[in-house]
Amino acid sequence: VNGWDLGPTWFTTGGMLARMNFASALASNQRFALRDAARSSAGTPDSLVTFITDRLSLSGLSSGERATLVNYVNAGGAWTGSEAQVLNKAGGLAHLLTGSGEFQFV
Amino acid sequence: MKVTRREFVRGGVTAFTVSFAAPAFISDLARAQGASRRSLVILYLNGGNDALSTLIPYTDNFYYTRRGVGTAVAASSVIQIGSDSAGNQLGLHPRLTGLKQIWDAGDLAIIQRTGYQNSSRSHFQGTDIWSTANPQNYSGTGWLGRYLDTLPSPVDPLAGWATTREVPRTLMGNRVSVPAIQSPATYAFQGPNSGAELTFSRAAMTGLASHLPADKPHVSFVNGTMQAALNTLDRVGNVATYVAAAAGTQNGPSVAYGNDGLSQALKAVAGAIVRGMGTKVFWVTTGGYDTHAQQNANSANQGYSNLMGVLNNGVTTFYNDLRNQGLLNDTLIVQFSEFGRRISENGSGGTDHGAGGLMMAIGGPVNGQQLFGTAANLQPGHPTLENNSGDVRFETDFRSVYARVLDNWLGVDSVPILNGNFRNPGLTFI
Repeated sequence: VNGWDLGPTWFTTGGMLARMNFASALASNQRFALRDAARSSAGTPDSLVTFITDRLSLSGLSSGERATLVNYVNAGGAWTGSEAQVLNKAGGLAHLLTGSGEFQFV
Repeated sequence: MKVTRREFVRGGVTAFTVSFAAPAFISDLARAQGASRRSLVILYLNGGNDALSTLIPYTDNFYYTRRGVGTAVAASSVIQIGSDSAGNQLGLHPRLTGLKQIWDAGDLAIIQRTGYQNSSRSHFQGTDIWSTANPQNYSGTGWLGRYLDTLPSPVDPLAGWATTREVPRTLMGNRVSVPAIQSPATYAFQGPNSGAELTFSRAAMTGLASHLPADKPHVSFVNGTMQAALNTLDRVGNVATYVAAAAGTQNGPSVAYGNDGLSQALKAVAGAIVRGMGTKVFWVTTGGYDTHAQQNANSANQGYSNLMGVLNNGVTTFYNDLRNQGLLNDTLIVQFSEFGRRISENGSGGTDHGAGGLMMAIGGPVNGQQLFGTAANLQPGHPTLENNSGDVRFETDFRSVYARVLDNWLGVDSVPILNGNFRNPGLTFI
């Protein structure tokens, strides 16, 4: 790779938003499949985060990033692992991870 | 600046933090008047505007002998605005009634016969030349991108704003990136869920972006960009509320904008200015100017006449909105097109790609009600023509207009940005 002619402008705020929103579209399309796949691993917020990060091959998350994701799963009420919770949070986690800075380099 | 992948990964953010050296020259005028609050709106007429139908030499008989009724605007209908320094009587297209009011208010100046030597007839090449301000090497950065590169770090992500789907070359720099925000309403964070869950996602994404690991500079760079994107969303959302509000309401425009693309783009620009985004350069495009056939310059609402109607309504509404809100003196609109069109009508009731065109400067700071330069004499063989008298020969290098804008409005030295001294002391439109 010989670099980018336009330097750092290859990565713009508009481009980053587009990547995040593309990740949203991917996660939306797979919402129900993600719920079904994650159901058996959704005993706790932590186990759900582990399941999604493993599926997306994001093993290098820092403890702070991981805590952010666990807090996200806990947001909105106590975790019970209900169908509705898994549906929302599995898709939400897939979106967050595929739209994250780390994932742009996977 | 060219960055290799290795440099990018190794150097991370610091590789791109180019130190800023203040330009040696800053116009005293610009500095005195507070360049930081100013905004520049570039209005691009895409396709090659037929300048001879915008500003009509209605006393030049050759205009009427070389063109038919579809491409020659009737002398009886033009809006007369006086004569240029050579005594050529000129008038605006009859649909430009609002621009005539702006002219009368002293806020519109027209620069005639703008262009460059050996004008390209290619839309792409011509646009690139006008974008880079370099007729010889037109594949590099844009002249306003290079201006944005002179801003001190960190540069606001909204220092530039393209209202188009893609960022034009004009706004591409080496260091500063400009977002393409076609619609403030749709420039928003999306997620697979809605309501409170979407709010949780946004908060979590912000949290992830806040991680700037020192041992992963490439991730830090991307996360920093993500932070800027997320921060920008709320500001653009603020503009979206302006765009969505009804005209005349407390939080909305002071006048009603049209529903056409140009009006909506200018409405967003007005919203950004009114809401104090601090954007220095906006880019607005309106298309349809490649009038090879059925130009219909005299019809009530077709062809070129319709183009002029859209232009007139959009610009006049924008002008009135900013004037009503006391922001006109901080705003300069500069209009251009990639070339003018041929003098004679073609066989399809239209005009083909030509050479010299015209530029307009509009806004409170403009030394208006003035025609800069001289109109071409359309008699075959006249030295104001070229290419076997088929085209208007340029008189004012377009880079002279850019130089004036850079030196006297944006408050930077135009010479390094334009790679040459194109200052024209007679070009006092601002």
